[in-house]
Amino acid sequence: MVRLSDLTDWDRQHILNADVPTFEGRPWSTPAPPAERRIAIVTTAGLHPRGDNAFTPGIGDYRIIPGNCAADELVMSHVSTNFDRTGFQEDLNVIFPIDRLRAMAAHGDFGSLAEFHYSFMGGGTHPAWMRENALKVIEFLREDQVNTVLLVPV
Amino acid sequence: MEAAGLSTTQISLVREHTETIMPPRALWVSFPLGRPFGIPGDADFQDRVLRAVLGLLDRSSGPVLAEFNEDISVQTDQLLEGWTCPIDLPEPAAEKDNLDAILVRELKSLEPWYELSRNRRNRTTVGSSGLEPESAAAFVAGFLRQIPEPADGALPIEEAFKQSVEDLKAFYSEAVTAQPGNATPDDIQSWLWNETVLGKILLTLYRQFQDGQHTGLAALADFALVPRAILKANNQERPSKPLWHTPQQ
Repeated sequence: MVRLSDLTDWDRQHILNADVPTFEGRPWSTPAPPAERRIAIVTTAGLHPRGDNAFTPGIGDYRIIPGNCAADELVMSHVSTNFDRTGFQEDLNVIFPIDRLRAMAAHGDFGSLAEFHYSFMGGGTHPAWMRENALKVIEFLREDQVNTVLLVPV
Repeated sequence: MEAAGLSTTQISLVREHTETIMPPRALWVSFPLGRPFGIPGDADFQDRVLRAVLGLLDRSSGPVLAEFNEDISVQTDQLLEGWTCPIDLPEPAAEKDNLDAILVRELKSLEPWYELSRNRRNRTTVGSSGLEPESAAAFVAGFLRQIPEPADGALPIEEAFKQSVEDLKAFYSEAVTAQPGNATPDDIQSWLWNETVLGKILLTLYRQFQDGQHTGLAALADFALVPRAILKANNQERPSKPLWHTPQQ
């Protein structure tokens, strides 16, 4: 994001006050060769198909985004009022680069794109509360033969 | 994910947080919150960010926290020209009008621009509340008089309110940016909160909820209704550190 020094003191304090988790150990999965990579996006932007239930802070659940979901079908129910949404309104790819990934896959830059992508909502929800649902998402990703995940905050 | 055999790479927006978490592969970008791939409508720029973050998968060891080597520059002509809202909103309401009617009238005046935006972009991001914009406007303005009871099985009232507000903000924002121009995100935010009836109603409700007895709406007002920059500009008190919501079982 903009450097902390560029922010207002309120925004800077808010970010520095965040309860950031730490982890024991440094798990490392050696990536597959590019031609064998099957990539899914997992975003915390609170993105979901129109008609799905909006995200609620404190739950830590997820929504499924079909890989063929049209841009016009995706809405955002993130709780925060403190980030820009006009970029997303102009172009989905600025938060969820699905068209860029499709082009790269078609070009042979990596193996394939996942059939499904996943969205969490990162506001008002401690990351630890997402753990149980994150484990479910891992199962779904493996069923989809995904071996590579692009994690995208908002 | 790594422990389960999935290789991850990620965008980092807050470098300080990523330095604490130490994920296996992260690319820090200097872009504003809400724009992790940089510039809307610039496929080449987004592609460079994407290739940089996926390129971290070729590193042989980690954790690695790399830095994207491009900033988003603000064009000089934007700074010189500034931005003026291209839409003439209705004149301030006559006293006999109630705020519901005033808000709906304002919404109606934006409708042609919203449709223009929808046609140009082939999409809209309005729709998380499930209400049509006019119904969402009436629902939100109704809180000025009294807090409605949620219908059986419906969302808690503060969540229904929040989604309606976000839909209205998206409607306004999409309408005012229907034609590509030089508006910055700050310009749009300032216009919405300082120059529209919607902004005035939401600031009124912010104070009303904070002083009221409804804990859900008070919590919403505390950290999820008005942007911090707008609160500060309106000489409101700084919100306290938000409490994490209690997980629902």
